[in-house]
Amino acid sequence: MNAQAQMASQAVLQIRDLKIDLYTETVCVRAIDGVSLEVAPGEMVAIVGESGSGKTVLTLAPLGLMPEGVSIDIIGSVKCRGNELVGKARSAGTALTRGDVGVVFQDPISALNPMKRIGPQLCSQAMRKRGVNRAEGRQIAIDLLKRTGIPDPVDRYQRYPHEMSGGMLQRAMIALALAGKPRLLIADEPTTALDATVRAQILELIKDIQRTEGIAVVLITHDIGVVSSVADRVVVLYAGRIAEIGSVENVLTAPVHPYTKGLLASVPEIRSDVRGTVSGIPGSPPDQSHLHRGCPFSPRCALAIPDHCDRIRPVLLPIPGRSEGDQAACHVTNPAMKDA
Amino acid sequence: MSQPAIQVTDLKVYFPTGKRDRPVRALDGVSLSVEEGSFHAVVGESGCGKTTLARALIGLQPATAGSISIRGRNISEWMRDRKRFASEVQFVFQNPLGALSRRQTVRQSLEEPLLIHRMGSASERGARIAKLMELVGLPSVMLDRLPRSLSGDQRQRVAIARALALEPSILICDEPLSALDVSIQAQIVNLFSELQRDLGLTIVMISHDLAVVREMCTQATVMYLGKVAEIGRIDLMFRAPGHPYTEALLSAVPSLNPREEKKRHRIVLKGDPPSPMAPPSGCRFHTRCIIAEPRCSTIEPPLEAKQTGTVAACLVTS
Repeated sequence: MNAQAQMASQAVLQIRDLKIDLYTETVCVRAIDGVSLEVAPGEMVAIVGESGSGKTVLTLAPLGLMPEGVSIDIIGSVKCRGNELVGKARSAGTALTRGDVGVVFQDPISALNPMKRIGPQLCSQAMRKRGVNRAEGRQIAIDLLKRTGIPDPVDRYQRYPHEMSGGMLQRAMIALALAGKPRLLIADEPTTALDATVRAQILELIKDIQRTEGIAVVLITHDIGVVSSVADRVVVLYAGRIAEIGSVENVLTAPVHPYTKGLLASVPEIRSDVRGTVSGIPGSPPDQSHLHRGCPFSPRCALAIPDHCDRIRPVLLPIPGRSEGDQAACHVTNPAMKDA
Repeated sequence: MSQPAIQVTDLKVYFPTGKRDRPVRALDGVSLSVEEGSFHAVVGESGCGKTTLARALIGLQPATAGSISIRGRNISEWMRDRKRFASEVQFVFQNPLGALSRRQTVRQSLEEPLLIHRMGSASERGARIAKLMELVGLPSVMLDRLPRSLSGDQRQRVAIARALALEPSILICDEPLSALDVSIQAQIVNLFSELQRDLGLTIVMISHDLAVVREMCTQATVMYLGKVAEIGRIDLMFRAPGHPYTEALLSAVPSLNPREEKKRHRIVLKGDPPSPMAPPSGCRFHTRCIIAEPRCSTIEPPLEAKQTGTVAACLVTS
C-alpha cells in the first residue's frame, strides 16, 4: 500500500468530489462545488472562508444538520471512519456517526436546551452515545465539565444554561460534543461570539483536547487570524471550492492564491510597527445562485488574466517545490497550472 | 488648548434590577475627553459598558449621575434641541439592516434627513445624495434598491452615508465592523480613515477589536466593567500598555505567523469578566490580573499618568 492509500484508509473524515446544492423556496445555490478533503486522526484542519463560501455546509450538511426549510442535494462521497454518509437517511447517518462526531456550534445558548439543567443534558447524551447507565452518565458528565475547565463542576451540573456566562457555556458545549467520545470534533465558529480574552481560552482548550485525546478537529472560521496558533493544516474555501490548501505555516507565511493573500492582508497585524497595512479585497463575496464559468474569484482578483481566468476554471493542483499536500487553484500564481 | 469636542465627567449609568441594592453598574464613574478632529476608540469586552457609553453620548440613555458635554453644551440642553443635535452628532450602529427602513430605497433613506431639515431644493438634494454615494464608494445605480437587495457592507455604507447627510462634525459608531466579513471590514476601515481625514470629523468608535482599532484610531479608551482602565495615544498604548488588562487584550490578538505564534508568550486570562451587578472590590480587574498584589483587592486604583505616556488605573505598574 502506498502512503496515500494508507492515509486514505485511516482518515477520520474523507470527502471526495463533493457537490452540494441547496434549494430554498426561491433559489438554488451551489454551495459546494467539487471538494475533496481528508482529515487524519488527531489532526486539526481549519476551514477558512467568508460568509457564503460554503464552509459550514461542507461539514454539516453530510451529517444531516441543515436549517429547516432547506432542501439539499448531495453528490459525491463523505466517509466518516469508513462509513459512507452520502445517500443515507438522516437517522441512518446519525446512527453511523453515533459517537464518532461531536459538533460545537457558534452560539451555545441556542444549541443547549434552555429548559434543562446543564448536567442532565450531558448525562443523557453520554447515556445515549456510550450506552452507560445514569450513574455512570452522571460521572462522565462531571468529568467532562472538569475536563473543559469549568470550575466547581458538581455545582455547575445543576445549573441552567442562562445561569452561565458565554465562555462557560461554550465550554459546556464542548463537553456536550465530547460526551460521545468522538474521533472527530467539528467546531463551527466556536469563538466568534466570544470576547477576545475568552476566545484565547477556548482555542487553547480545543487545541489541548486535540493534542491529549488525539481527536481530529475541523475548525470552521471566517477569521484567518485565529488559525495560526492552533491548526495543522488550512483549507481556504471560496465559492464552494478549495482555493488553496496546505500546512498552516505555508499557507499563512507564503500564500499562493491571490484570495488567500487578500484574506491575510485584511487582518491587521498588531505586532508590526507599520500601521495602515490592511487593504482588504475589493468587491463582495460571490453570489452562488449564479454559477461562474471561470475562476469564481476572477471578478475580485487583481491578477486575473482577461479572457482566460473568467472563462476557464482553474484546477486544484499541487504547488511545485512545496511540501506534499500543498495545493492551489489559480491560473496565474500556481506554476503547475501553466503545464496543465 | 481648545475645548474638547466631547467631555464626559464622572458619568454613571445604573440599571435597576429586581434587587434594589444591586443595580447593574453599566458605567461607574467614567471620565474622558475627545479632542476636536480626533479618532477615538472605546475598547472593551462585553459588559464593560461601551455600548451604554455610546448610547449616553447620543442622548439615548439618561445618566444616573455625572455629565456629558458636547461642543460645550450639556447633553440635556441638546436634547431640548434635537434637530440641531442631529446636524451636529450622528451615529452608525452595528447592524445596518436594523438601522435602515426595509421599505425605503437607498435614495429615500438618504433624502429623509435632508427633507426633515428642509435642506435645499429637489435638485440640490439630488446633488447632495450623489455626493454622499460617492463619499462612501457606492455606485449611483444602487439608489433605487431596497436594503434587502444590498450586501452587508453596502448596507453599512448606506448607513454611514445617511449619518453624513447633514454634515455632522461628530460621528459615534457602535461596533460598525463586527457584522462584516474580514475581507470587507478592511474596506470599511479604510473608508472611515478617509472620511475622517477628508471631512475632519471627530469620530468615537466603539469596538471590541484592538487590532482593527489601531489601524484607524489615534486615541483609545480601554474599559473594564464600567470603568476606564487606560486612556491615551494608541501608538503609545500598543508599544507599552500601562494597564495589565490592556496588555492581556493585546496578547489575545494572535499573530498571523505560525512560527512567531508558537514562540510568542501569551497571557491567557483566567475566567470570564465578572458580573457588573457585583463588581469585585478594589481594582475590578484584580480577580483576573496576573500581576495583582494583595492591596489590589482593597484599594481602588485612581487614573494616573504612567511613564510610558498613557493614563492608567493600576496600582502596580509605574
